[in-house]
Amino acid sequence: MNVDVDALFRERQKRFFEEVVRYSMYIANGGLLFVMLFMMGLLSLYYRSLVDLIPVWFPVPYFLAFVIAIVVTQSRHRTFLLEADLLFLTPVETKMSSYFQKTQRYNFFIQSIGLFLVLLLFSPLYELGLSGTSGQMWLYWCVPFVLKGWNIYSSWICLRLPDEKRESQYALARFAFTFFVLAWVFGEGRLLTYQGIPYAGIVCIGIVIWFHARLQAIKKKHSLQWYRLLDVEKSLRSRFYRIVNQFKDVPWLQNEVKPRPWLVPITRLVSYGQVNAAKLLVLRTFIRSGGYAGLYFRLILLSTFLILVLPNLYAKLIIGLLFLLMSAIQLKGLSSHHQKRNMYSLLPINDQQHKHAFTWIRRVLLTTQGTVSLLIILLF
Amino acid sequence: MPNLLDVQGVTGGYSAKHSVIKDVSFHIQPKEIVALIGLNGAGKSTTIKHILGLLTPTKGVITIEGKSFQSAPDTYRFSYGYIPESPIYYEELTLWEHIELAAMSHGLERDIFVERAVPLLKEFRMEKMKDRFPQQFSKGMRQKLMIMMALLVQPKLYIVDEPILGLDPLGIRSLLSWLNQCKEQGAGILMSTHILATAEKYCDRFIIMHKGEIRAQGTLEELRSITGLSHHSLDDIYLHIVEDDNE
Repeated sequence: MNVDVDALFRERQKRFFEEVVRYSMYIANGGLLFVMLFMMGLLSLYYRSLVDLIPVWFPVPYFLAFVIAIVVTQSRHRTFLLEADLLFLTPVETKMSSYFQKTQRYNFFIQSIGLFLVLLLFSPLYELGLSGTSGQMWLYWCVPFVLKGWNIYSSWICLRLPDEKRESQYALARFAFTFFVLAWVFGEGRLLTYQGIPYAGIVCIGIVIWFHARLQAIKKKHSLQWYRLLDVEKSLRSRFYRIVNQFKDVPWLQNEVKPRPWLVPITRLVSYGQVNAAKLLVLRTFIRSGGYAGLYFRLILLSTFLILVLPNLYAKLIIGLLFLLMSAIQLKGLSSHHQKRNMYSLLPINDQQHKHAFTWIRRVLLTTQGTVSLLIILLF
Repeated sequence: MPNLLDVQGVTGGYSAKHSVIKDVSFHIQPKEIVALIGLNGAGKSTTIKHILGLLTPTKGVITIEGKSFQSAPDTYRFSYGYIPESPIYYEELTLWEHIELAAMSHGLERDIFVERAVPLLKEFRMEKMKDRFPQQFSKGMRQKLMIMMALLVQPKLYIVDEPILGLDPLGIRSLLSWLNQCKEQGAGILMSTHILATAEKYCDRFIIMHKGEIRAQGTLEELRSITGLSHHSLDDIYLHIVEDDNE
């Protein structure tokens, strides 16, 4: 079989970009984007005063190294693979290397955009603490990207590992190394330097060589894990669709379900009984479904953090309200969550009961969030 | 005895312009298992969708215990148990939570629900899967979930669409013996299937559908006398009827 893998990649990338453009229109029309922009504006107003709040003894370079190392280490591998590829592309596996080189390049490019934004966000903070060499800023802007490239390259090879536990051990090692290099560079080379000899640099070279040897061994021993690659692709794609789904219904959205056993006890609050069937269903959907609960709790945490750091009472109140609005917007998807499937033939729960249950859970969740925000505003 | 399910002169399909089934009439009484047999595309599933109230007939009436879907949609939905051909489930709910939801929505008392659910799990050997999600199941296991949800409620009428495909032999035996038990306790069962040998063994009457119409219906003896094929099996009779038509 002869497959032009380069054309295949181009075609799939094009299709995805077309989708991105189409959905960006919907997103641009939605209210959430406006809320986010407004909030960013509000925060930038306070940026200077927030920076001033940082005590002198706080190790800014090392803290930045830690945060940026997280961004750099997180290497997600979109491959644009489809389910049918398990059948059609596995026979040409040996010829796929140029396809996957392109996906790696693509991932590097896309993730570099995010990295750039993070670096941009922190650059004033970093510049303030510098002793005054402009060369240091060059390093700040370059080294993370080099490390990003190295992380993409090595994490791609680690995806060949059949054991996911070992893969996460390697990810941890990558993070440790990335953090170490960044701490050394951001700290203007002071880390582990003794009598003028930069021991940290020597350690770095050693680790790179060791890592390289390990990666080559993995590459030799293991072949591509197609199912794993497909899983990764699916979850990344559904993440994209989930974001889009906040603005526009994505009918083929595949759900990621998380058991979240620590949240299950909450369902005991809904007592057993015919009238509560729809409520229990919507509550369980909220808890387990990939997006909703995760995003809800993250929004609460973020708003709590912002309320705590912002100095002005009005700013606190506005943040509280904006986050309430964001929660309300993102919960909207829950109301139509089960409508896509034809479950009515199976269980006698009608439309009205579904709607009723949805308004109930939205009320409970928003009241809880509002109460938490208000308590924090009042107490601190 | 009054009819449990009554399908009278039903014509319908997915759009009003294009009818898939034409003038379909049959009935089911308590204490009988009726097989709905036909080729792929004969109109079995469309007939079932009409009975479930998912499609509206352009002509004719369907009633369960004298009530039609249009007159009382909610009570109508409570009156049957449905086992679909391809399993449908909530990704967010575990097996046990599905069964619980089925029991809750049908208004079963909690004790009765547990009392019925435990032996069902045992019968279909799904006890270990109790707290797992259907997404991790094989097709047969998902099918078992559908079966357990329907059997738990113990409705008067069961509508079973191709139950045997995908089930393992033990599962098939469990399902058929369980359905037989329901029948003895007074339930009526409509079962659509391709597997004629099983149908012949377990069903009391047969409805043979072809190209959207009912070609013949009755007990095996009645079908034999209609076709003049005495001593023949259901398989032969079925092929005779369908092939006749193709000529």
